[in-house]
Amino acid sequence: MLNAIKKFFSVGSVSVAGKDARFRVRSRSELSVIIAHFNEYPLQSTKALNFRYFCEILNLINKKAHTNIEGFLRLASLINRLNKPLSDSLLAKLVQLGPLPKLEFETSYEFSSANRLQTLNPFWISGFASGEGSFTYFTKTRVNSAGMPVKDYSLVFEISQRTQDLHLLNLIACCFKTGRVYTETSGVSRLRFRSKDHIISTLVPHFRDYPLEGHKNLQYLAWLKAVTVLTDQTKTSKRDAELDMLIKELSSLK
Amino acid sequence: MRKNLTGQARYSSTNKQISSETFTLNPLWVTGFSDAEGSFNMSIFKSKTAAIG
Repeated sequence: MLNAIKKFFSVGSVSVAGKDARFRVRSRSELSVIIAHFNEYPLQSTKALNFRYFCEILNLINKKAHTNIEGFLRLASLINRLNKPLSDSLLAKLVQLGPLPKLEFETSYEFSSANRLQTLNPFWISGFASGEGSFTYFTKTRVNSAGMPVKDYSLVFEISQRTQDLHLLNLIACCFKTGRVYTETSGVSRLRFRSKDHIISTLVPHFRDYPLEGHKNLQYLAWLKAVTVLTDQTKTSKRDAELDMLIKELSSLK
Repeated sequence: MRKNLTGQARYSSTNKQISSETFTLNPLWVTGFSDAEGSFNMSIFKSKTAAIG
């Protein structure tokens, strides 16, 4: 799938290390292709803010700002704001050159609620779900009328995000007209679809028309088999054995 | 994007390797995936060869 993304952009390289694969674009000329893409099709999460810092840094480098100490410190200050802060040891060395300028980036405009998109494109949702979606299940063991323990499965599709991007989960729920959003005190929010009927009537047509890609699609297809068995057949020991097998298959794809 | 295909058609059960030749991505899909998995990184390092820059 990363190769498909590489092909899409016609730049960058894909590297594989163990179970991880990475698509990376490093050269300034190639990065311009990526920047043009995100200017035309803007990021919707707070990652858009990182993108703006990144563009600002590249701009300064292109203007050769980093070749004098003042410009270099300005760059370091911006890099310090991108993702994680710089390491203490590096900061200590930088401070020997001079204090890092305090840079405030006007961010309020794009992130005020009035300027946010009010609807998400279905292709965007499938791309996002290919990254952050989770096709999983819950189990609950109860004791039936004969006093025997019975395992019930409930199949779940969930998207988790840091709560700063809660609005995206709400917008996705709006698009599907179903799903519940939970906000946890740990700073994580989850959009969860667990009703069998809603899965079939809303998610299935969506992912048919706007497919997931890569490994997530394989997980989805395995999960959907289990959903279908759970929905179409009444509870018998034969069905439960089949469901057990499908759940095992799904787990093996994790 | 080949819209009228179900996901199943694209993958054979024996070969899970996904060919990048068989489909193209929608640009909004790419942005959505980047919102999920992308990252922008920049690092500072000391060059052994250049005095500045």
